[in-house]
Amino acid sequence: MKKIWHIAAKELQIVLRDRNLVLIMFLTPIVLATIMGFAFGGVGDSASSSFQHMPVVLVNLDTGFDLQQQIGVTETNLSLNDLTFNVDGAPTSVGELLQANTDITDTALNADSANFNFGNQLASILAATPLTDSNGLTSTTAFNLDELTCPLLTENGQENQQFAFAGTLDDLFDVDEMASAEAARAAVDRGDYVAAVIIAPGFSNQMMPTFSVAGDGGETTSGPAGEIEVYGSSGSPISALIVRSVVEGVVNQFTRISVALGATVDSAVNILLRNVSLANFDLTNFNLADLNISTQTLNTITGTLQTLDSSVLDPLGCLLTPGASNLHVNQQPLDQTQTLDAFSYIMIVLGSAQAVFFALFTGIFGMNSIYEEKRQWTLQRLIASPTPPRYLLLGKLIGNLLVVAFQISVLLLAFTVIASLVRGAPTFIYGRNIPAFLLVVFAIALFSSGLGVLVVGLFKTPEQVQFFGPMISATLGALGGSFGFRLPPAVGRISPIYWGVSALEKLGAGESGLALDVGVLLAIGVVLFVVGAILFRRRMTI
Amino acid sequence: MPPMVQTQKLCKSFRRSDGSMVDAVKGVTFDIEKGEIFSLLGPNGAGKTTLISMISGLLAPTEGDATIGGFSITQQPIEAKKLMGFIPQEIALYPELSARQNLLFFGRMYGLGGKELNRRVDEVLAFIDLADRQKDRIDTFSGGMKRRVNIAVGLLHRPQLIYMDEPTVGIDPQNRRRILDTVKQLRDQFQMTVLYTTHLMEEAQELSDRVGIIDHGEIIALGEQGELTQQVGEEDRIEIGLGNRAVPATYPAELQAQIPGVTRILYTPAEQLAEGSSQSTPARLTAFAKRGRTALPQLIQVLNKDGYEIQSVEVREPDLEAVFLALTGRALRD
Repeated sequence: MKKIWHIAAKELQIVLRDRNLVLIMFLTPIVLATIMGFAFGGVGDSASSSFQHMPVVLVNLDTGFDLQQQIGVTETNLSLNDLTFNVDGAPTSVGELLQANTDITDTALNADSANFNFGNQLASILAATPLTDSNGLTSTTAFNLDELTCPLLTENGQENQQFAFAGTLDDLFDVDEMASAEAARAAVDRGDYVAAVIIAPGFSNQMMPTFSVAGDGGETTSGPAGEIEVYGSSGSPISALIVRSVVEGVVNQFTRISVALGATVDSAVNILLRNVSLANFDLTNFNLADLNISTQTLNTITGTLQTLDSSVLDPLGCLLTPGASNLHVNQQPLDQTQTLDAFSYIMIVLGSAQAVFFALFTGIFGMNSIYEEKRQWTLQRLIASPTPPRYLLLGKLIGNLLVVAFQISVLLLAFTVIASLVRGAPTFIYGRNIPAFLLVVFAIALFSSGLGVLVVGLFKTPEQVQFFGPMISATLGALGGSFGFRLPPAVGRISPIYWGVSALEKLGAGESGLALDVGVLLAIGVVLFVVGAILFRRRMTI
Repeated sequence: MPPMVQTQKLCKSFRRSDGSMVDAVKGVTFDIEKGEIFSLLGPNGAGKTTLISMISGLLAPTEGDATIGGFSITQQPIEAKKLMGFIPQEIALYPELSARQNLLFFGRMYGLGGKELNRRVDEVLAFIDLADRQKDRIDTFSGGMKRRVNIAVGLLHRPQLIYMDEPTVGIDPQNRRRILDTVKQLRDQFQMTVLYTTHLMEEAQELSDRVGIIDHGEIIALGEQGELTQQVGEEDRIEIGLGNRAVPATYPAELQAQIPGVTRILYTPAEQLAEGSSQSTPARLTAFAKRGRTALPQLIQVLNKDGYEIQSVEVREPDLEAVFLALTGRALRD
């Protein structure tokens, strides 16, 4: 059995000592992927043109959030203007008091109009269209995207500049709206859109802060939870990443506003109602001075509510702030990679595709070297040695597998190093799960090597292999996305490169759902290997 | 003492591309005794390599069998191969690897390992006088150095039988001399049995204890050199090179009739060296006579009179080539 490993090790040894082979196997894909990384990854000036007018479908199911219900006045269906008590002997409404002491408007205190709908806001931002349907506080001022300042969207942004995209969201996305989440997902599956943004019915409730009402001992919490689902097309992973990043950034900003709003409103309302409660609702004895609400607090409340729209604009400049918990991303393995730069994304996607593509060549031409061994009589010398023929066959097959696995490992490691150098910090673009990484590499190597065994076993002469081998590799490469573009998943899945790249992308995203990708690769690899080995035995004779 | 190699009616047939069959080796039977150098002599295409490929286990015989040290090459191939060192005509080495790496790898294929393997590698490197170049890649070596490493691989496991297939092809005289000396050294110093194939009569004459002459897949003569030359008598051979002028078919017989002492005259027409080449070997007349030097002046006189241009003249003692010529009517180079 040792002889098998000696033969396999010899195969690897020969590869490493062949400068031309090293050049083709390692340097070429590294250079190609790096050039692609710079070309499409946003480092060069031409980067933006690759990511314009990405088709996105939007489904806004958000039902909004009723502010007054949350502060406990819904049961009486009263606005704050309806809540009156005596001030200096004269009946005065809370609304009047607030308006007299602050800049808060009457509209803001009306029960019918105090309805937040963050879903509408998000939809208007993504669609880059101002809100025209006035619906409560958030619609008092329409968004003006000309005033939007965001490093993501400007050419000279500083630390958060990710894509160097010089334009507006209007340039970035072409948004269509749909009413059904299922229809939107199906449209993405068909490849009509790069992503679907599905805003759940309870999104605004989820976003709004929890208000505690200490006065009556009760507590009102936000409504049913709602998430935003970014359903990305695996055929356009980078575009889907951009959609997700923008959505996440906007939602993140909503979260900030929500926290600020919650803190101020909760504080103010609690103080107000505690005093009302302490007075046993004897509003005739109520004095505004007893409320202990400072003018500054009221101004904060007022300012927050009144200027909500404009305050959204500037913070949008931090669209990529991580940590929002309101996003659920389906299908796309983007959970961790979203913190990476575009160059790293490119290295993950195209680098993986290049690695698998060149591994196919190595698998085929590595096995084709059996003809070279025959020509230089080393095969005859091996056959004349006291080594069982099956050992020679297994050694050759395992050797080729070893070479391909080594090649893939080196390439992925090189891509990681390059991405780290470009980024200026250690960046594990294929994740840190070493066992899973090795499993994926083995699965890809098994498939690539198995294909090589089959091709060389199938075709009778080295010339035939040299003609058909590249054709097969190129076809699989095109289907699997090795040439910088991706076909719809339904087509891409034909190519095992698709599964290899998918597995590597998931590794990079830190996802654990590798079973299908790895399973497909292993299954195809085993079949190719077994069938190929049976055919290849014919090549091991003189 | 049983022979080292025994072949029994070895046959090998190949199917041509047009579907017809060709018999490359036709029922060959012979023995090689232990400790002797046995040369298999024959022109290119005679079936030498096919015959040896069957003996060394590279090709399965269509019929018959061969034993190496008593082990059948078809029934007990591993045991038989352990006894044999294989030195093919081609440089069967990995050019990307160093001499030492090649030796280590093939040594492992023969079951060697550890310190023993390293010791053997050092020994054979010293034997071929390449210890100082052992770390250099094979593709940086000269042709002669590659040949020596090629031989060293076959000697690594100290086999009882060494098979050498035309090991001096394409190398300079100095390296050729070194290889021929090595072959004799293997027999004399290490008591190895050597099966040596060549198409060069001189090599077979210098090295061999016994010679087998093969032509068209059959052994046409077998024995010691003296025995073989006796088969063609004690006649000298007069080789006369002519120009490109064609010789009528009846001319050799007419010429023989005019010169006393000449028993036979064979004509070999001019032959192109390679397809499309402008160079060719001259036509030759080969005359056999008891006393070649006496018959020579008369031969030259008649040829001059008949208008033939004589380009070269050589008188040779009886040798293996004469045997081959006598048996086949063709020169060995044909």
